[in-house]
Amino acid sequence: MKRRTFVIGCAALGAGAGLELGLGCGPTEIEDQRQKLLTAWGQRVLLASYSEVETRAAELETSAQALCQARSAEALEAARSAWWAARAPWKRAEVFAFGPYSEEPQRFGPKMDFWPARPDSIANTLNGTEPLTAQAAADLGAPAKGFAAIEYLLYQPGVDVLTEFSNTRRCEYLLAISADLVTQAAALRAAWEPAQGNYLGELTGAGKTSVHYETLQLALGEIVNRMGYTIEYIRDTKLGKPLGTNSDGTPQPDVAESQFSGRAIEDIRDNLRGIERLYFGDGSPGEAGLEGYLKQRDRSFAKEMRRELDASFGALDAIEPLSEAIVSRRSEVEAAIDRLRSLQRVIQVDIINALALSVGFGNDGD
Amino acid sequence: MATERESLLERLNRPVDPAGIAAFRVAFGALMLFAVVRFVARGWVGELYLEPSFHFTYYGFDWVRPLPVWGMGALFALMGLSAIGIMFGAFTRASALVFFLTFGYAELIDKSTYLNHYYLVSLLALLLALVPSSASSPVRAWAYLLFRIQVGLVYFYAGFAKLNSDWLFEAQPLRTWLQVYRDLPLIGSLLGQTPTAFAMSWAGAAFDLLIVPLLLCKRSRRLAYAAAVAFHVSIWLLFPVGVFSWVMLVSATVFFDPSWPRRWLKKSSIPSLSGAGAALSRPAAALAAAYVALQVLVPLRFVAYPGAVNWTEEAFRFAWRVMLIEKSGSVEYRVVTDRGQTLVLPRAELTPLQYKMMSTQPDMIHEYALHLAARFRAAGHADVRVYADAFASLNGRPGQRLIDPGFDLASARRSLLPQPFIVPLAAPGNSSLASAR
Repeated sequence: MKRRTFVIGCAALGAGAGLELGLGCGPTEIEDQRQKLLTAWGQRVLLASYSEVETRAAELETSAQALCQARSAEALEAARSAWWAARAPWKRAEVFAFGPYSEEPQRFGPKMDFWPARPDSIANTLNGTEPLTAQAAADLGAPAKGFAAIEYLLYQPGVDVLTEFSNTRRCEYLLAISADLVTQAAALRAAWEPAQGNYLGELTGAGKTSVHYETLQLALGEIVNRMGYTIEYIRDTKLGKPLGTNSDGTPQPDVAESQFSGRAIEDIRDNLRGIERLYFGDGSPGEAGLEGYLKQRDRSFAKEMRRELDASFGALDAIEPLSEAIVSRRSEVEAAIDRLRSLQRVIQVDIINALALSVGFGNDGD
Repeated sequence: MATERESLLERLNRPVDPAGIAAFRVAFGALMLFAVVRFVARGWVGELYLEPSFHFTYYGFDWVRPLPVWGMGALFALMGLSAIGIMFGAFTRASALVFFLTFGYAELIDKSTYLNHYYLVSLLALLLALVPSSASSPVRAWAYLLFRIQVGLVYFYAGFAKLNSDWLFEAQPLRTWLQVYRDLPLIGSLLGQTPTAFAMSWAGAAFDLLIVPLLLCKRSRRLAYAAAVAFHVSIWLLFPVGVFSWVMLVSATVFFDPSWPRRWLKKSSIPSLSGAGAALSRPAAALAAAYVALQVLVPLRFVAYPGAVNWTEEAFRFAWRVMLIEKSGSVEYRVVTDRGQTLVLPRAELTPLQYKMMSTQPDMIHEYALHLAARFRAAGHADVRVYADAFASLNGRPGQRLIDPGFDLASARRSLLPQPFIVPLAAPGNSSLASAR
């Protein structure tokens, strides 16, 4: 009897100790490197980029005001430059196109960057008579506002854009949706800010306070998998669809991103720069990106990532501008799609495997 | 010879205390009730069966389709009720049969939900449907033997499958999985060490191979079960295995002395033996022997397939190849028809679980290719060919091609035979077709 009690006692003690250790309820809290990485990405990439979008969107609004106050070629060029500059941080942060970006009721992504642009929707607003107040801009459908609609107003093909701005309605429209872009950018940043909406806390508080992520592993997996998905999206939607891969090979220039400004390839470069930044960090001691995290686990894909990123940037250089390449240099567009596939593979196959980050769902395994 | 056979039959028909098997049945029923409630509460009925527009079916079971919402609700309600029946011994064998049928039906709907312990649950439910397990129905030795062989085979094959170079000499996939816990307080730095992964790999293989004889031996039984508790609870804590650990701990009780519950419960709570229970006739004995032979042979079928089974995954399911692989993959299709070429990204058309599973399993990649071919043909395309651009990484190896990119998957019929389109796992340093872009 005593022996049996002893065995049961030991088993219970062992299970209890294991439970405590396994769940990480030790007396001292050690910062999990995944949490540290997610926090760094959130603060230095996501929030920094969104903050920059907000600043540059405000500069775009200012330049739009200047254009409308004193119409000139220089003012138009300044407004176009401001639009172009605002795109850079926006596209660099595209890996984070989830949460407040895509989920109801916020869905800031479509409100800020619904593409391809729908000239019909924009023309309807241009030809309308209702006052274009801030509220009216907020209530506009996604196809009639955001980056793509502003791009259309500033770069509309087949017309003399500067002359078109003599139409006060066009100016009112540009000013209204530029201001709305600033508002949406601020709201998106606020939704992620720890002191405000704190969606970032969903990632960094995974396993503790997060509703969406039961573990830090799942939260880290979300970002790393999205790096791969972003490249897949570039290949399929940003390059493949304009090339006609889903339309029996007929080029479809009107489904390209940033098709009026000719920024389509630069948008993709910015997407890749964002991924590059997430992978390699910013070079500062405290932020070595995903490569730093891998190195802590005796793994490294720096060589492969560098090689594939450089090759991808090179392949993109060869298809500039996209509108011409999809017609006259189709094989080079196909080569770029294949090149990006190699980059996607390093992330989705090698890195995901090295870190056991495959995303399934919260089901069991064995 | 005839006398020896009679003697064996007599031994199999020897009356045995039903208490042990009844305790197993009660615990199994309770665990299954918990599992069913948990499955429904987590919304997995909708997520796994109702929401997907496509399901990966088992060869020969294409006819098993998801029922409408009310039908799936009824299926799981019946499953839960039959688990209660098993637990309380109400119409025990009928309850076990209903549980086997409902659980089996759900599991057959989509191959991407396959789990070894779900398969074990199905088999244990089938055995409970065949074997008397009510505490008031005396049982014979053959009943215990069937359960012991079944559970013993699980442990044996799980251990046998671990005798491979990845597990023994690379400590994979444990070395990768344990890195996840590197930042845990107190034990994190220990778990992150390579020697720890090796120690746990070898200990895991030894546990699986030795636990059954140690549980059968009266002298070592207590210590063996304590080790089983430590082993399975550790797994439950470290890895997302759901009810797997608890299924095994409940199952391991079949190796105890049949009267073990009487030492823990009041004597009056379990009826004493009366009668002799169902005797095993010769035809029934032959049927039981056939069942056992099937259970022995099915996991061994991998010898009929070329290549590394953990890579090809031919003969991987229903073979107790438990927690052996960390595999990730990426697959897309090129559909070529008389009208041109289309790139198809299956991730956009499947659930995350389905994509995760299909991206590393050749038979599922093939099945989806056949689905695409049928879809394009139905849309009026002719001369439909489907090629897969599929890469995968196994247990920390560099990614390599999984499917021959020049093989028209639409031209191959589904079959249980070895498939010619699977690219073999590359030997270290070999990077010909395996790594071709």
